[in-house]
Amino acid sequence: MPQPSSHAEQPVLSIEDLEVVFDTIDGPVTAITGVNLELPRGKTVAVVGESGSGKSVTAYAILRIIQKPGRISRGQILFRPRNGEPCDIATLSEKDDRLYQLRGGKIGMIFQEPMTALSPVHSIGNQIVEAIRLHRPVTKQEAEKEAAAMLGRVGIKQPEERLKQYPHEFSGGMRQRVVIAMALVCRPEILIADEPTTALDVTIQAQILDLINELKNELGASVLFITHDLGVVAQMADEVVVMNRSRVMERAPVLELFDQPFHPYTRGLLASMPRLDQHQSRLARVEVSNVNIAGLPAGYTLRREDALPGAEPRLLPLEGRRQILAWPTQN
Amino acid sequence: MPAPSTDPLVLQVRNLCKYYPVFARGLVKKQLGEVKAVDGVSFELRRGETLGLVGESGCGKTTCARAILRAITPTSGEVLFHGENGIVDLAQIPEPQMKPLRREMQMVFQDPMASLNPRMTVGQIIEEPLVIHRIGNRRERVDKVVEMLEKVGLLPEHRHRYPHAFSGGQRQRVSIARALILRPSLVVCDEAVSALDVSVQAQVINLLQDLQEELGLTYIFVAHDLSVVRHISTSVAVMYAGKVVETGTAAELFEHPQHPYTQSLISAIPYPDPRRKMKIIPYKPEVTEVSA
Ligand SMILES: Nc1ncnc2c1ncn2[C@@H]1O[C@H](COP(=O)(O)OP(=O)(O)OP(=O)(O)O)[C@@H](O)[C@H]1O
Ligand SMILES: Nc1ncnc2c1ncn2[C@@H]1O[C@H](COP(=O)(O)OP(=O)(O)OP(=O)(O)O)[C@@H](O)[C@H]1O
Ligand SMILES: [Mg+2]
Ligand SMILES: [Mg+2]
Repeated sequence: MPQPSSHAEQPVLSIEDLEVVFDTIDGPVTAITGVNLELPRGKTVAVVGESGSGKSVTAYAILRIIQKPGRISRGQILFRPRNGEPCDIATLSEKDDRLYQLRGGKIGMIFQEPMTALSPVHSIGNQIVEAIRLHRPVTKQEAEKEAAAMLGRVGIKQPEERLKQYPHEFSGGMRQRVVIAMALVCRPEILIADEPTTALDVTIQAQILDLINELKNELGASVLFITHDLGVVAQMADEVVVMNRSRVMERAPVLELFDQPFHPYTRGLLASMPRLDQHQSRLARVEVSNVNIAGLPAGYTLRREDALPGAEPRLLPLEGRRQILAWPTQN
Repeated sequence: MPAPSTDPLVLQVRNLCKYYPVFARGLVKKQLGEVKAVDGVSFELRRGETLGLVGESGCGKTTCARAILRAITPTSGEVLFHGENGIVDLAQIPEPQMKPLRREMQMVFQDPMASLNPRMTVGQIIEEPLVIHRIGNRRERVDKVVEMLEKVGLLPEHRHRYPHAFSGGQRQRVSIARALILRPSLVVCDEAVSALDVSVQAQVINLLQDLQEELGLTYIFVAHDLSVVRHISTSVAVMYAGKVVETGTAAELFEHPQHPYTQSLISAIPYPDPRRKMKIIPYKPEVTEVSA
């Protein structure tokens, strides 16, 4: 007999049919639509995809920090904290206390561009200390010790001295590591990392990825890892979600995605990876034709061109944990 | 061995240094020491070449790039630029003489959000260098802006939006469009393609290479993505703690790295294969960052 699924087995985060619209002066711009995403507890889900496809907007939606004139126009974001009742983040009131506990507390975020998350007029030390004390009852001295320790763990030498400096005195990658430290000191249940290592050389990157994994195991946290580096995806992710043009195109466990990418877009992505071991004089933008996929229900196609005019695509479940976006070809 | 290039020199950097003072915080501003952000960097670049500059986060790449273009004043050293009107030492010449030279050299900054004026539309941002240097009339300038937007994979109507209304990678492309619109002869790209997915990245890199061929541009390309560096660079310099520790052609350096830091760096490139686990060669130097 299968056991009824316990709370612990349910994903810590389930996003369903999420849509975010920006009401611009030129009319509404749909940044994401029909986004489904599951973050299993204790796992790392990588989100990859085209520049501008809606990866960061999805992350902002989870923290409810989408800037005006943007808004969540549809869908739900179900968060199941370890202690406490599940809640739909999408519909929480702006003044709800739970939102403040989420932001930077239960859900930590490493922002893509560090300067947007750092204040230029406060010292690095004050900013990390404040992040700690906002969510945890520790003294200033304890927080300072912790800040220095975390700065050391992200590979910044002489952390006590460095805490007294200001963001403009740090290099781009050092600022990024400060933002990482600020997210990690709060011991989040979910860590959203938006391109967290783009400003880091590969040796420091490796150190940071190890640190994220260490803390993930230590805290039993789950990680949503937005990146375009497929090497990082291969080394870090349990599952991969591929986004393109405001939508989720494909979801698959990491091995399956690298072994057998289904969607033409995903196949193009994997094929156009620049490689150190092969010299190409031109970087190819691969165009891939349709493939036959076992389990794709009749009446659906992966190619937008072959779809029924005006039909909306759907994210269809395939075998195992795979999902794929397909367009109906008939009514 | 490829024959030594006979293209004309564009840049000779000799013993470039930039030190930042470290002060004790408090009521009395007492200098404790200095950070040697760039400590004796030398290299030469010829027309049409691309120098890849790589190294540990915080090793001095951005400082080096900014000191070369005189965005900051170097502490010492020479930066000989072979421009349209002869050779000048950028480290020495007075600021008023810098202005006409700035047209020939441009920089794509590492953090686009911090370098793009949030109160200007993207169209105004890309057009600004043309306005500063009084190039073209209003109509011609807008045409050029639209052409650049399309070249970096953005849409003409995007020019009415403000920087905050773009994704990270879209903002990076705005910075690139702004830097290239003047058709400068020397361009420093500081992590200019780091936020781009592989397909847009390919488009932007192909654009950089096309312009290089067409106009004989010279690039200094600072980046952490070593496969991109290898692809685009004619030669590569590896920096560690303010110093260049190894240089070579892109092929030599990546196939036969000599310095232990370079070896460590190459060993840390994540394999795009989930079955292959990483084996990183550690590098333990004996350096102190703050010297009294
Ligand atoms: N204020 C806004 N007004 C209009 N469109 C917006 C606004 N903010 C974001 N967008 C659009 O929403 C889309 C999704 O942006 P998002 O930042 O999520 O992309 P991304 O996938 O993170 O891309 P990147 O990899 O380049 O960071 C983009 O096309 C962007 O132009
Ligand atoms: N304005 C400044 N004042 C004091 N120190 C500075 C300043 N700018 C840079 N530094 C220091 O100089 C060193 C080199 O910084 P730089 O920004 O050149 O590094 P980088 O190689 O570009 O690193 P990254 O890859 O992380 O961007 C760092 O230790 C940094 O803290
Ligand atoms: Mg983004
Ligand atoms: Mg830098």
